[in-house]
Amino acid sequence: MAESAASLASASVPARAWRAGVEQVAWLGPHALLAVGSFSETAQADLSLLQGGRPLKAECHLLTFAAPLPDGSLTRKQLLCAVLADEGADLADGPLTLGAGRRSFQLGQRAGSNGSSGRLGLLVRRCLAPLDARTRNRVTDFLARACATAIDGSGGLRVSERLFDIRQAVRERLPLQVNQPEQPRGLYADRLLTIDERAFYLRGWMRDEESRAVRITAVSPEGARTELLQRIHRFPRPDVLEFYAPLGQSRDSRLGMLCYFELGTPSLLPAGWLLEMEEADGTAVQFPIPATARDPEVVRNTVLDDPARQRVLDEQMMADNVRPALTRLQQRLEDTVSVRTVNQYGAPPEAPEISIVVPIYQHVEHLEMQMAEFGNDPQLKAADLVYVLDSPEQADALDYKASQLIAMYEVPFRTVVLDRNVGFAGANNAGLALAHGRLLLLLNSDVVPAAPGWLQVMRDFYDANPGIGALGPKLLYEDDSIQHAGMCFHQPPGSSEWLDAHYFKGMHRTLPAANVARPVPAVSGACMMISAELYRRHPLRGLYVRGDYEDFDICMRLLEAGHENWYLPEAELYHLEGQSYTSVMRIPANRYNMWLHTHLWSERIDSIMASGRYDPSDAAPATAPEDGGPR
Amino acid sequence: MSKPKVLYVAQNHPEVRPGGAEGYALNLYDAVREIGDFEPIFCARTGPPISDVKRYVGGSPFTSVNDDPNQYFFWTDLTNYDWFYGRPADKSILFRFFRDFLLAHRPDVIHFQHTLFIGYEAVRIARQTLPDTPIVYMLHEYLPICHRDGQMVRTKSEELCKEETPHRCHECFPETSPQTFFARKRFIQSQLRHVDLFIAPGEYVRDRYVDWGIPADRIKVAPYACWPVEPARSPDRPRNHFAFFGQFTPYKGADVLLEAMASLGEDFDGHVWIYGANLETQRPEFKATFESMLEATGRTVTFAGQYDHAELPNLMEHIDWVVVPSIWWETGPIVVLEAFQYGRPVICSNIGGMSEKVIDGVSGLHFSRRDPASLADAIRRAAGTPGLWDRLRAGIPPVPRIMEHAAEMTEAYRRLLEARLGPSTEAVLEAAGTGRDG
Repeated sequence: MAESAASLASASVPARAWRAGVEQVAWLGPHALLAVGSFSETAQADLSLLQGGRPLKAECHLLTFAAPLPDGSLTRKQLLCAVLADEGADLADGPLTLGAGRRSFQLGQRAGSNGSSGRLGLLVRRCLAPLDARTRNRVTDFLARACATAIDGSGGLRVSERLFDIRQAVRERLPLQVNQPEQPRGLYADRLLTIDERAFYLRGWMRDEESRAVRITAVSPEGARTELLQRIHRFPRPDVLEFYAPLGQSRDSRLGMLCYFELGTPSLLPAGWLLEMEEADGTAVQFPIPATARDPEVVRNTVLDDPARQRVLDEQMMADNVRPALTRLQQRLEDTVSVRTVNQYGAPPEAPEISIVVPIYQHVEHLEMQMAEFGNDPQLKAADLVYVLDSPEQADALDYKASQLIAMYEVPFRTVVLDRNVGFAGANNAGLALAHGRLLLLLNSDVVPAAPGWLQVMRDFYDANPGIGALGPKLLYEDDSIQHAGMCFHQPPGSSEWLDAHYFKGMHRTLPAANVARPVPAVSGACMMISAELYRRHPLRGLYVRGDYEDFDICMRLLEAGHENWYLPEAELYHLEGQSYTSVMRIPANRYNMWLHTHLWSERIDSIMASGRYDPSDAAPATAPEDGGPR
Repeated sequence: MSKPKVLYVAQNHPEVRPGGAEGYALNLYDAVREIGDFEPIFCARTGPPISDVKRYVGGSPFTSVNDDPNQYFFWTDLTNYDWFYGRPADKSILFRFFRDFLLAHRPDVIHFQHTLFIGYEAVRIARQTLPDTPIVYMLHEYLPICHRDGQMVRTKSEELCKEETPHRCHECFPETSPQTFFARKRFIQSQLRHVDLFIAPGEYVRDRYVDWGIPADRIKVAPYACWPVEPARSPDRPRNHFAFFGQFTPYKGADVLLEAMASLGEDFDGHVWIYGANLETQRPEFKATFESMLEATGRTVTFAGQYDHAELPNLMEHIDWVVVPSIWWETGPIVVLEAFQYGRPVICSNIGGMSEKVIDGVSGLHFSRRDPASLADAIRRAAGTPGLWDRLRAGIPPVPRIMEHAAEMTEAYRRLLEARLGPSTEAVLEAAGTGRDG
């Protein structure tokens, strides 16, 4: 292949071959242009774009490569890709000039939206198609990256489509890989997940027993190329092993591969991804990747699926692939969620002291269950009560219910409807952003007070113990056994994972040991009081999937910052838990959440559990609440 | 000066369809009016499934009954009525219309006879609308406690149930979670906590509700009462005529009686008349079993069907014994009171409200619940023991009279008003013309 071309492209230019000039100009829409020619003697040129003599704000990218001359010799050429930084500007607004050092080049003017594709075709055929295979691949990769701003911009999808056309025209096609049980080489992509426009998650399998793979490349529809071989995680795929049974025993059973990768440039097109594999013997194949999945639920479930099958989680798989994918996905969801509506029902209370935020996902009917109880408690009527719905398809049902319930129970509240599901932390944070109170109460929709007065009891304790972190009440099951009396940690024998453990779970509510206020490592997010000021410094983090461990996480951070968390048995509520998600759906998420939790906090948990301060068998609190709070 | 007003809210008007609870409610209304120190208002829920009518009046669910300015129909929509929680989906019927009704009449006491088809939330709306008005609530059966039609009979075994827990209820209805049963209880209790006084027709009923969570001192036991009647004549004949009066639901046990008669055989010297309604609305399996058993007992059993309550004196004259084979607890079965009023001993299941009213061997005979052989035995004894009928007839206790019962109720209302209004009560009541004069 073109080793010489590669060295030539980056090396010095034969002086006789270089002559400044523009060969072809083409448009990738109103904000991006391509030009082939010889613009600068060095690869790093001082480039600027002018329109009608005035400088335009633009990014100019230059790729230098070796191009064949009619006599078979090579010359040095350059591909310019210029992208306007200002969306208001248009390449059709006036004649364009490229400034390159002391030289300048006339690039002409874009003639509206028509005709530009013809010029693009010409540029591709005359200037790019004759290049050698390796350079053509470099060209597509260069364009996909140079156009990042344009793809991110408002006409991005059109730019992506153009880039795809270019890639189809110039990329070197490899033989299509067809997997057969009696053929030693295998390459397959089950799924490519779009985490966001720049991050992806590949799941598939490969078999390279006869000749080791030396390169596996993902090619985006826009042409960006990403080397995966070094970062792919290999894992056992019994189904693939079975497929290759005719070949006999495999050397390596880990035929599965998964890989989280960041592209460095956006990719918008779901269809058109390719996987290339090159083996040590020089053979190379390509495999078409099915259209990417974007839906957050599908993405999450697919990423969680593999860890859920492993008893012992592979650290590399989790740390390098699963975690960055899920963290980035959660971040994308939380960053891009927006409040659709905020409705006030009833007259808002004046200067409320406490804001109660209740996330609702799907179960709008829980509202009635809580209102029937809140209606009997004057303190609830004085609180700033906020319901946050993150299943917007139920906005109408919620509004109907809310209108009825305000008339029935006269407990004022607000509803905040988010435009999509963001999970426990995201929904709480959206509600808390609108909260007025100096104290915050995080409350689940399936929690109902055992008797009126509980809010006052919690508030009084919180105020009497300045400096504490989160305060959690006693939570009960429907049969009066304890669901929550503070939380700690438990390490199964032979495992390095720390699981959550609940003090006195299942014991009767009257158990004396469970009726002592005490500092605990963590309290449940199902009902948690915290000062607004403290919360804003240590908010819930949406790292976990589907609402789990966020409470542990915030409590750990509070503890780290010197605020101890407390359990208060005098406030009692019922937690009718487990109605929000079916347990089957929870298992994969739990596996991940548990791993992440351990990954983030195991050192601190080790020291907490070693300290003996939170020994659950010790009925007396380490520090009495009367002495001014925990140290 | 106007009298204080007591509002009765019932789940049905006896004019639309007769029924024990609603019949009692209307009797109470009449009696209170006759006593004269309270002005009663009767508000009876109507609409499907009890009545076929659409709304009587456009724009309002209320309309008056037979030109009585103190009686109203209250039409509620059962579309989307939540049977599990006992609440309407569209609550505007309560927070708008029922509220307006309360404000228009401003009763001094509200006595809920029932909230079925209306919603338990009616209690809260009453409290919110008229914060100082005492609220009385009648416990006719166990509907707030038990999702199985308030019967407290377990679904799989037909065993009697004495206590509700979310787990036990979930056993009866596996498709409903314990948490949901807990939520149901909490919901109903959150409404009923606004009641000042509950009336239970018997001690057994009171005990079940105390177990359920209502403070004992908030429940008053006051047995059902009737307008007095002349005892039926008893022409000289063998005392071997039996009758069943009641609905043909599985809970009333008419099928147990038929099975007992079948076991006594064709040659049994005695006869049973079956009076009642609503066979057609029962589940097909029950109907089929019932009808085939009727066929099997053709010679000794007459299926007489629906009867007019006014005919009761005649019907009673032709029979000697009333059989009450209910398989559920019954709370204070009015059929027993009626049998007693006409001088007829009762053969009944040995449980709950029935065994509380009928003393075995004194005013009637007990048999083992759901046990046809035991019932057959009792019937054979009743028909074949000379002198037994006369002895048991002599043991029948006096039946509470509605006038006395109504006086007991108005006394209770007065106490509630006193407690609400504080020291100046006497003055207020006197001003209203109802002062207690010793």
